[in-house]
Amino acid sequence: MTISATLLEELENRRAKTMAGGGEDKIKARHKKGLLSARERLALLFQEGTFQEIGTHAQHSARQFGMEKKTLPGDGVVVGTGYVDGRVVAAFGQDFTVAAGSLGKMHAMKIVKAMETASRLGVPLVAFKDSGGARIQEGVDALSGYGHVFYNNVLLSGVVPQIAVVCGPCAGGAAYSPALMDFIIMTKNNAYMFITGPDVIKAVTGKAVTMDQVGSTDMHASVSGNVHFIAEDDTHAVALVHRLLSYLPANNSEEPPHRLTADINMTEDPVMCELIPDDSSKPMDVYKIIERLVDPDEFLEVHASFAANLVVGFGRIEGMVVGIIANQPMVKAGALDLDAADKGARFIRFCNAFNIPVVTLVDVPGFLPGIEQERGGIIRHGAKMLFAYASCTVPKITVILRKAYGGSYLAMCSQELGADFVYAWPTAEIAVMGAEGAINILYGKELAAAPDRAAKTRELAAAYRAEFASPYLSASNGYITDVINPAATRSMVALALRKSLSKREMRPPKKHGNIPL
Amino acid sequence: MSRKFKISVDGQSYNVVVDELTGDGVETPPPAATAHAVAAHAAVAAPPPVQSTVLAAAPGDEVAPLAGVVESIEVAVGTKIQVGDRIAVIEAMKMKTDVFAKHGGTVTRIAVKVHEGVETGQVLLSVG
Repeated sequence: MTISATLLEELENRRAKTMAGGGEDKIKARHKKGLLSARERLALLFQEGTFQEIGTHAQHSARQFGMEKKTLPGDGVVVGTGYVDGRVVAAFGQDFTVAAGSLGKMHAMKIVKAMETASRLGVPLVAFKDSGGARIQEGVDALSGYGHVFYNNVLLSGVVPQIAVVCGPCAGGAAYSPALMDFIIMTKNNAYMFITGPDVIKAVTGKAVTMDQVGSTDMHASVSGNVHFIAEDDTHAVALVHRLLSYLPANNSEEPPHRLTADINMTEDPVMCELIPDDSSKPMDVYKIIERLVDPDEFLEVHASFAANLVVGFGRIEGMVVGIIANQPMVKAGALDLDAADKGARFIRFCNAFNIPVVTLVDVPGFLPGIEQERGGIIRHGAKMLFAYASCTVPKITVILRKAYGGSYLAMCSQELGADFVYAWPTAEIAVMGAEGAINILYGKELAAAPDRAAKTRELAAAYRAEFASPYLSASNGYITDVINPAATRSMVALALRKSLSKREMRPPKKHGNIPL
Repeated sequence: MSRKFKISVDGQSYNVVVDELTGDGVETPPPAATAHAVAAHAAVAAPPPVQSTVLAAAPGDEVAPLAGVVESIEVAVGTKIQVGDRIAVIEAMKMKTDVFAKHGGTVTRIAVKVHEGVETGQVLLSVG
């Protein structure tokens, strides 16, 4: 007794048809352009032999515009689960060789299936976006499909990490699915993303714009802030997914993949002291500080090209996964502005959702003054930083390197916003406002009467700085935990982090807070 | 019965139709609603857009990355510069921010003076 050979043959034939996607010619044409097929992308993502497909035999049910005569292998999307570095991940890849990867009812159902699987198994979702958009022949069915995809993106948000790889067209409403996910990796060539493209903009406004202006990877990575990582090509994009996943837990009830060491290394690092400029008005490159704070080669910057005055990214300190948020005085003096606040707040909220402790490095002179900042709504944007930090219940460790002025200091995870440990270097200047501004208010009459106003200003400012901006004043009032030798920064942060891993903070239950958006 | 009025609010004139209520007249829309709508409309007028005092940069111009005071200019007309060279220092927000060249070439014009206040995007110098 054995199964009839024809039954197995039929199975193999049917499978082979789906595996071929849009056919050899189309796949070859992609290779010539340096692009991978949907299946090749997934093969690169998963460890060999671990991929299990969902919906191999799925077919569309459209019966109009000649669709009844067409079979679309897998309905233009490949869905399944596999292992990445020994951890389960759910993924889907839109297949541009099948009807341009267009989204119809079944295509959308398969994507939703990938999302439901990610949610049920409690594993990250990776989405390769490469689609011409809605399958117009399917009309409102296609539109409804997008609605289901968006809804499920939102259900997954904060439950499992969602990573979008935009590696082809992603236009119109389709662009909202990656936008609802946690991170967008976009390939440099071949990919574009927009809501209304050059044609529509021209038709409606009469203004001619280029694709580079409205939809390119560089634009989204540096101006709009939609894109978190730029990938050179498909292979690089997958490498970035692997790297990113190495810092993330599988779901919101898991700890991130810490690699805990038996001991915390308490060796001091004198080079940290050498990095500090002698003059507080000289900018200090915060990348150099981060590099010495984290374990070797353990910093993955997020949003590197956007709002460079604030640096955010994942790292490991003595094996512990952290999210780092740091002012960068090399750009815009490190001041917080509209984009920096958006970037920081979103990153902090991701860390909080996925149990990743946050380490904040403060060197902030203030919020960036300017008419465009005020009219752009720096009040409501800056408030996002306050909201994000205050609502964040993961371990929060803050190091005040140098400047910490006014509201921007509070917005960089001060003790008042719930930091568990706040360390300050002896170079820290913690004050309600800059010395020059403060003395103008405090000593207006003396300054007006002084024979040499500039000299008097300098004298009073120096005295103010020494007395009122000193970290020892804040330390004596209990506003910071301790003043530390910069050489001990890494060891102090690591030890405090290790002690904080058991942190639990309960708040009154609520549906959700109302973050200013 | 309806009567037509011309009403002027903040210099803008509106033609309004006013119905006089007779009997219980509950089915007639209250005239107050019309007047209210007019007032509300006038109230939401946006403030005028801000005119930028910064001249648009031309290709080859190096601009200020943030508003502040020019602390120093590190090049002169005729200096050959490369992308990434330090060309000026702007003091703002208690910090001396280095300005690096985005263009390579020869400096053809210096557009600002030391100790002069500059706005974001203001042309500092031109490279030809």
